[in-house]
Amino acid sequence: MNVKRRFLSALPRRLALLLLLALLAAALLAGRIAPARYDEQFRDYPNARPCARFPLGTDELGRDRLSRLLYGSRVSLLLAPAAAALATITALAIGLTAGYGGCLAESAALGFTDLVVSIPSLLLLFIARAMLPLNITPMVSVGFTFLLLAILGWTSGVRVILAAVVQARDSEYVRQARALGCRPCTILFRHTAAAVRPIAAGQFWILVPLFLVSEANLGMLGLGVTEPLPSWGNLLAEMQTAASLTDAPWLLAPAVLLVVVLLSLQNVLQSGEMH
Amino acid sequence: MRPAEKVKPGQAHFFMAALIKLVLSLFFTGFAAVCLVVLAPGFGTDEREIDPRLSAESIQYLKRQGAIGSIPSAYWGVLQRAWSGDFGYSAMLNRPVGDLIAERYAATAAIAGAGWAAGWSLAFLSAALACVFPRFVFRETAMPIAGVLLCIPSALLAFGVAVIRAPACTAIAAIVFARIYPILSNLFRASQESCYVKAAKARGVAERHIFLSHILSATREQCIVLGGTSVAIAIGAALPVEVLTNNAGIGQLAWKAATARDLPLLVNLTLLIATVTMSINTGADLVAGYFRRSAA
Amino acid sequence: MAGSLAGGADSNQLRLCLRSDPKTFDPLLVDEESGETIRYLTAGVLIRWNRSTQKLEPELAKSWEVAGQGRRIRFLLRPGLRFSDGTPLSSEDVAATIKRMMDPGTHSPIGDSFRSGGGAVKTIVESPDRLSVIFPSAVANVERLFDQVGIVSAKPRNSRAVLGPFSVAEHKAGSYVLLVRNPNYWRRDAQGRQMPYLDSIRFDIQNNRDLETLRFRRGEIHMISGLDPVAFERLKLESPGKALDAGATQDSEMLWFNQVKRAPLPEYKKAWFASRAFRRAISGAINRQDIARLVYAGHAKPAAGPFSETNRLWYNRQVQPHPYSPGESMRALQQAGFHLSGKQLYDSNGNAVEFSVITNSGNKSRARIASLLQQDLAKIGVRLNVVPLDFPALIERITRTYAYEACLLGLMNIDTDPNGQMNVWLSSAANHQWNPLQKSPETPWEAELDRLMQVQASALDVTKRRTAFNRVQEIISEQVPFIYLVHKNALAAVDQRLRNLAPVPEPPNLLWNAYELRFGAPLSPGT
Repeated sequence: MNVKRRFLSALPRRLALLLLLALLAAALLAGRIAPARYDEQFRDYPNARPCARFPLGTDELGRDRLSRLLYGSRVSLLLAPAAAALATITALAIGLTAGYGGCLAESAALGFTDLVVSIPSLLLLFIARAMLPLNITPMVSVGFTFLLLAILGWTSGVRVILAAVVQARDSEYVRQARALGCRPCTILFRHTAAAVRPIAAGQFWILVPLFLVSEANLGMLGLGVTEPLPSWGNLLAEMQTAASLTDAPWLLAPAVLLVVVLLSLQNVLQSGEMH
Repeated sequence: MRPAEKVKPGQAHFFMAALIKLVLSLFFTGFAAVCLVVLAPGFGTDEREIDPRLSAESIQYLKRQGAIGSIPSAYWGVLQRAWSGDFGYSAMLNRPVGDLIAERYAATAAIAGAGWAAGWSLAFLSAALACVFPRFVFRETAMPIAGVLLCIPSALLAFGVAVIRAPACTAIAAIVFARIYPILSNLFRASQESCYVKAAKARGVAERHIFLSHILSATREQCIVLGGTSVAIAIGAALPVEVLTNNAGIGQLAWKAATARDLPLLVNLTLLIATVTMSINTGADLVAGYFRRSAA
Repeated sequence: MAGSLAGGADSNQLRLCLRSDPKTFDPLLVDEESGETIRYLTAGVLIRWNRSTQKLEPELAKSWEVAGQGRRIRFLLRPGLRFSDGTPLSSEDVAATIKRMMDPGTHSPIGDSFRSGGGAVKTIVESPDRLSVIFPSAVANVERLFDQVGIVSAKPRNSRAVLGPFSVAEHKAGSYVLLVRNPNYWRRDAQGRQMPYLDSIRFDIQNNRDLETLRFRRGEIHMISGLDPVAFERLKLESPGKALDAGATQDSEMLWFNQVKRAPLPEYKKAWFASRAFRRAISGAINRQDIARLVYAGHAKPAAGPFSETNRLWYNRQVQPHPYSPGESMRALQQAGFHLSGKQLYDSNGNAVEFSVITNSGNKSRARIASLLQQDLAKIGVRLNVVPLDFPALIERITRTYAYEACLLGLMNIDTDPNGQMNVWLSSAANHQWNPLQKSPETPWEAELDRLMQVQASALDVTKRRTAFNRVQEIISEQVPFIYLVHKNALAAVDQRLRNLAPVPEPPNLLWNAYELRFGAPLSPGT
């Protein structure tokens, strides 16, 4: 009975994990399982509705949407979580440094955070694009873009993480641990980290879709995934011709997939925390 | 009386330090904004330069118009003029910057304020209800809703709001909700897992009482700080929403200023937005610090 | 009286959108699309270019005559003209307008169009209703230029006093511009009723095309100019009577290679771009029909030169778009020393043929064109990298740093006369995009272009001008400095209650005859 209950309680997490792995496998095997190349233009079939040949229809240039979704997953499933993780780790590092580094470190960290939040980041992106050569491979462009997103995207979580760090730092159990002679590393990584983990997890979870959507917007600035390489970001951006969504609901496929990935990710993260 | 007298000088010192930090941060933010505008590719150019009707002399004139001296002198000029109440002239919109901001700040304050308040209320209520009624449908539905909202590009969200003729602040509320709810929910849930809450539950204390007395007080500081930081989210969200919903506000102006490299307009807007967000963040820090010290 | 035509003040207001705020209401300083639209509706001009008949018509001037080998134009004003504030118009106002327009300190783009050579433009006021304008050298088709010169009052009672059918009543930046009918507008209809018929025109500032379409479908606005082809097709399916295709515009989508010698590009790439054979081969490898079909849903025409066939006077029918033939292009490239290895083209020195094309971001049609170009050029082994940049960054590259390889952009022809393109074709001009500001023409064919453009700009005989400009178009087609792709059609959506609409591909498209627009009962689709 106990085994059955444990199995059932772990079932959602296992299913979520399985789904994520299946998606990852599909993305990595896109070259084998996709019906067509992502850049192949079937010019006689523009804006085709879903059919046996094109299960998710075609875009305005006649490119198979399913193939583009599969190829796009390669970029997005790997790079967006990586950038979100980098941004979250940066926020954690700054929050922990500010929390334990004394008054000056706290002021400097918060001041720097405010500065990064307040500056018009759009201009920073323009400058970044100007620094890159015009002839770069799409993969370099997309890697650089996600790095930029990570560099600019860490700020929103810092203050909340810092508040949690300070609360943990001043809490009874940390004081007791300190009085009992626990090493600072243990206090930092065992006790304080446990206090900030829910915020960090929430932050990471939010940043994944935000970065995916932002990546599509950066495509407008000459950054991001450049044509003809697909990404979930530029597939999501196609929804912006929203008038057509009622006529072509299959345009929602990337959004649906992204929501499924997010919810699976949330399930895995939540279960991980509980463990 | 004596304890109060003891606290007052400390608080004054705290406020003064916060004020100095705020002024310094604003100064550096303004400088960073000037640097970014001047260093951005295309600064000093004018779309009219590719107008085939213009003669070489007129194009040269446009090029001279766009030129500035050094970055520090440009910034000093902006500050000097701002001090005397002149915020410069927007070449892009052919209007004084002061007039443009005066005309538009109220519109942004209204939609960002309403959107922030609605988004926060919704996120807080959802997270609280999910906490108080763990078996209730909120826990299962609010997170997917937040997930869906996160996956929709802001521009599309704003378009959707226009389609259903809802007020523009609805889109901002949705964006704030999606960004706040996951963190709040995680915070409350983590607090629920703590030993004393479990102990209270085991004693049969009502969930509502546990939430109000224990969970809320344990997460109070993070909530206050999150409230402050989410103002920046609301202001940031106002940008695409205003552009899409034709709301003549600061967000729409900021987008135009950035894309046109309009130095006076962009620097003044950056300083205005920074003043608002930093003041609110500083305020949130002070309140959270006050609670922390009270608790200590 | 006008109100009675539509039965009420509110119902007699025309509502539509502008893409951005007009930067100025000064008719002499207007330099962008929104401002041009407002100027057209508010400013009175001496001579009007009829967008439908493509002929000049008297407006504020009752008549005019060109004399002195095109150096002098003499106007006779209509009697009893008044500005919207009641101030009478005299030739002094016209002289003051021209003086201000030609003042170098004003930097009026219209003034620049009049500058044919060194020396000042003089005005001689002969009487309150007669004046002459004298140019230092002959200006071909000078009367055509007066279509853009909005006459302003020398001593206005109201700074927004105008002579056009409407005047600016309100402007809320970022929100709307409200025009009201000018009670002193000079024009009357055949029945003697004063025009315009509409009481007011309200322009909402709306940048988003999807929202503009949505508002039209809801009936909140009455017309859209420059409709997106996808939205046009959808509207045509829903209600065919509301969708209007006015034919090919004079705007062209085009691609050019950077041929600036001092550009920071590798020498081998400069050699490709300077090669006529290379440019011609690239042009022949582009499927223009597919661009028109896929990007513009068939509402565009493959382009061969700067003007489309709707420009009846200046379009050269002998010059046709380069036919799509990747095989022919490949052969031409091989003759020029290029060779194909696998799927990649190499030049004679073994450099892989790959280049980037910059374009302005945010333009969906242009992004799609770039994607089609990628696949077309891949067929001849050329790898194309598309780099969208925001406009200031793009302008910096094409006008200052020249740090780009190719550029995909559109050219808006506000003026349908070749004189409006002097700054494009003259090798010394700043807008001679592929290689601007040359001290002396760097190639014989550019020297020939210079000569021909000067001939057409100074000749008074239209036939001589046409001969010269026809040759200009032939040279452009032979040398391919610009690879013209398509001329898009002017697509519009209109409320079926609007009467007297006569859509034209030239701006301001649906509003060129705004003075005679009025509301009536909806027309059935067949009518």
